[in-house]
Amino acid sequence: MITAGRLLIGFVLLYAIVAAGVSIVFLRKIENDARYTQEQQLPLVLSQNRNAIKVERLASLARSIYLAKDRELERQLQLQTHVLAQSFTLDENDQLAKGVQKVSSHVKQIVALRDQVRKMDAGDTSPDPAVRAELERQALETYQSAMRVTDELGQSIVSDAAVLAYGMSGDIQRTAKMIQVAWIIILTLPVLIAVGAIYVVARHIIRPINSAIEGLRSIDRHEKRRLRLRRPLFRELSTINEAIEAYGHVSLDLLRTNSILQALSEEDGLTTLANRRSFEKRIGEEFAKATQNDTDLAILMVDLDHFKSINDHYGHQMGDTCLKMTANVLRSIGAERDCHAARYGGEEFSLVFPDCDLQSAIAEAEKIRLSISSLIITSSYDETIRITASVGVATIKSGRFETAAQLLENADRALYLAKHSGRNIVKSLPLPGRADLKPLTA
Amino acid sequence: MKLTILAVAAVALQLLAGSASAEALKLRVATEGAYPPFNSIDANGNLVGFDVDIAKAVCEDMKADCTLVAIPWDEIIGRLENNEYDLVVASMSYTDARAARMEFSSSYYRSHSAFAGDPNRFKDVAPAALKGVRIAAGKQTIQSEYLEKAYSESKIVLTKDEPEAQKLLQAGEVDLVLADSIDLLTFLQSPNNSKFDYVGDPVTNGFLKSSAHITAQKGNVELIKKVNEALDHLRLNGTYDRINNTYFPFSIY
Repeated sequence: MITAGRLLIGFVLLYAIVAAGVSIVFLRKIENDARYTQEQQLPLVLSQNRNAIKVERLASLARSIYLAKDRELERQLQLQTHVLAQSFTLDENDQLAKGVQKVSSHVKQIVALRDQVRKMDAGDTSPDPAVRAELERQALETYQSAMRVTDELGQSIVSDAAVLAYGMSGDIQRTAKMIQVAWIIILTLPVLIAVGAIYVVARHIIRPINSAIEGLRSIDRHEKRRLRLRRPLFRELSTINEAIEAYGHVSLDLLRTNSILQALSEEDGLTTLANRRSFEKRIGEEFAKATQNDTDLAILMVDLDHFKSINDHYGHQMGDTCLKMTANVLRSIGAERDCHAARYGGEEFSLVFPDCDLQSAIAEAEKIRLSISSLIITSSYDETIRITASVGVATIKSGRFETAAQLLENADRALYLAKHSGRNIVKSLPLPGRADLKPLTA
Repeated sequence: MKLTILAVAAVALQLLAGSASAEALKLRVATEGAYPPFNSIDANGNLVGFDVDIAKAVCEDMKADCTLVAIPWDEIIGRLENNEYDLVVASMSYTDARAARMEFSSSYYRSHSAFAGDPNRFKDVAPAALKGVRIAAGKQTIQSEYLEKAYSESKIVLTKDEPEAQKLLQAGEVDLVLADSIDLLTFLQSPNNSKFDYVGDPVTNGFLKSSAHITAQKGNVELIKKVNEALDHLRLNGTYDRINNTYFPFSIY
């Protein structure tokens, strides 16, 4: 971003220099045009103007000579005509000089014709009127011819001057147009650049920042997907984004570790059934639910018979195998109906059956007892091991229980009763306060 | 408050004007005084003519305080070099030799040379046709230089100034005069000289075309720059044309 800032400053400087350069070039052009106009074109226009006046003057001299009819006046005017006509040779304009010389010679001719007339008039014999008229006619023709030439010269000078003036104004117009275009570009470019800069800021600064903020929010929401942010153009923003992404990854890892740890803390390591702690939590929840809904709830306590002697006789590994197989039996019950099984401790298991009355609970218990007693376990020495289990059953509606602990204790006492009734049997206690009822036997 | 500011401004302006007039240029200007109608001395002993009026107008435009002096033509360049005056306004034609000794302004009129004499005696003015013919010209002029170079077989008579040459023609002591055509116009228009006229075809020889300039001492470029600006002003503000029309029936610029 710092680099971008430096680049921008550099660009602005460069732009200012270029704009100044362009301006100077154009101002120079104007200056040169003005100088050219002043030094070359204006003198040309002025000289055309001067020549136009001189041609006009020449015409009036010719007219005066034609009208003078006086020897001395004609001479004066002819001298002036001569000098004036010669002065045209000072300009580099052959066409003009030739035309003017023609007028000058016409003027001489008029004077010569008039001299002839004067000589005739001064003669002794009266002049022949026809000859005199012919000379006068020639003088008139010559005069008219001189006037035609001066008219043509005047016209050509005027149109030359017009062409020059047109050229001058055209040059000025072209330069003005160029300057106009140049300045429009000079003034428009910064606006375009500003728009571009706003776009860059929006796309490469504000958008990455927004996406970083959105990333942080998604981390807050514990979203499980892996956080991927767009790569920003600027290194500084990129660093921030990388930090946020790293934070997102760490946070996601923690989330996963936590859920694993949580699962582990609720599970029995050997049998992968729920452990006692989570079972007690579960039974508390189910008890509250059943009380609220006025439904029944059954608890079964299952204890393997003579488990200590299996351990002693076949070793702890075989004991563990027996525990795992028992757990499998309990898990298969859970697959059939709504039920939660747990390893309560040692060789003791517990199950909770929501919405289950005493009778069906006893039936389930009996199924479990039979399943366990029909297990055939083979030891590493190919000996067949048979195990049995005693089961205690209690339901909410078979007594008056205020808490889940009371229900659990009741089931435990039923198990105790089963143990004392010779093992491999299902027992439940009669309702407290209903001593008239004998304990149910399966 | 406003009045105070105005008063201060007025004083400041006066000071500025005062300092400006204190620095007013003092110039000494030379002309010949024997070259009518460009410069001559009238009956009252005053310098008059086209050159004189141009000199005065230039001085006025430069806001310079000028004094005019009449100097004989053959001394006019040498005495400028001796710093006896600052400017020469005397129909000085441009030549390379002169440009080596003086600074030239832009031209203030253009002219050409012409022969004058009896038109019945002379038609052709080519050097071959004028063998042995007596021709007069002012000394140290472009005309005298030209005659010496191109008419070596004619008898060339150099005079101290133009009126002298014209007198010789009137007296029949020379046959032709080579001079500036505008200068000759005044001479020829005089009723006493009606037997003379321009002789020969219009001169298209480049050498006989000339341009008149104001000159200053060699190296005084600053002064010539100011003179050029003044001449431009005179051309643009109509002063030049007014002076031109006083002496000539058409523009000689």
